[in-house]
Amino acid sequence: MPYTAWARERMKGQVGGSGGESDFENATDPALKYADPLGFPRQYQHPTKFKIVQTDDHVYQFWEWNKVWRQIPLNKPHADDPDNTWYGESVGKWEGDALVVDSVGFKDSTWLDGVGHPHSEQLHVVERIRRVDAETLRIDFTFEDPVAYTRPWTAQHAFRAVHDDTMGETITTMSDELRYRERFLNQKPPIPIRR
Amino acid sequence: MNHRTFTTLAVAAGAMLISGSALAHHGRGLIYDAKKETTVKGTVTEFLWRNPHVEIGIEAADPKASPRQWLMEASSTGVLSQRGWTKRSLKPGEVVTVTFHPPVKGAATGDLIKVVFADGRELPR
Repeated sequence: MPYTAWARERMKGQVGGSGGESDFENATDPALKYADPLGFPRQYQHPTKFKIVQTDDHVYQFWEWNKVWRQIPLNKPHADDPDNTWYGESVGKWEGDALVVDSVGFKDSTWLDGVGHPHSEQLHVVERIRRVDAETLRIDFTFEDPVAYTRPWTAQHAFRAVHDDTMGETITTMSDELRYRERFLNQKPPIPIRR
Repeated sequence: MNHRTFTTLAVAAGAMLISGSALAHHGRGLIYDAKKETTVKGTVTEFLWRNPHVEIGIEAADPKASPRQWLMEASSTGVLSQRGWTKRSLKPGEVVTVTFHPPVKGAATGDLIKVVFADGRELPR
């Protein structure tokens, strides 16, 4: 990864909860430790369903995980000075058979993934979302973040269609997490748990 | 208004975004020994359909077993639903054989691999 010195410093002392070098019991992952939202694009990594719905002027994405959603106005520019939010501000347009989604305006407190790759508020993500066949959706990502990475870099993610499109509820809260840790890891909860 | 919908599920194949895990809640490398499998026959004492992980209590059939009471963790309700599990997939009192990755530190917990009923049926994996 083309880290900047800022990114390397930011990663010091951070402990992931998943992945090869993880230490779940001592993870500093904000989504585990504080039940913070996964944020974007990490939301894509959760292995539950998401649904894409297109209307005349918007595309909406709905995730089963924690009932998160985002709106993607079509053929609209970004706001002049968007707020920094967990999921950023997205706008989209069709280029042939690809939906191109441009996102900015992210809080810098989320991780890009469960390993702990950081980003700054200058993160800019472009997604090219294509249905490569009836069963497969592919997203090509381009990440730009001059504070955290010395050059733009790319990644891909493939998704398979599910034909039962019922969306369930999979919500995990701080009380769930503390209860889990008490029961399976014998960690004493720092606050009383609502059960 | 014209609506089009498409529902997807992440697949673990191909180039994942950076190096993410297919496990949403946690990696299990330092909690369970993924290279070992343990099998216990016993009675279901509890089946909790909840998140972040569905929980199954098992009392080993062998009265001399040590430990005798086990606590299994399966995946999340969302992931297990996709496989065909429901909140009624197991009931206290049922006799099952569970196979799991045992804990690294010797606690009486397990990372569930499979559940087989007395008649040979297996819960979907």
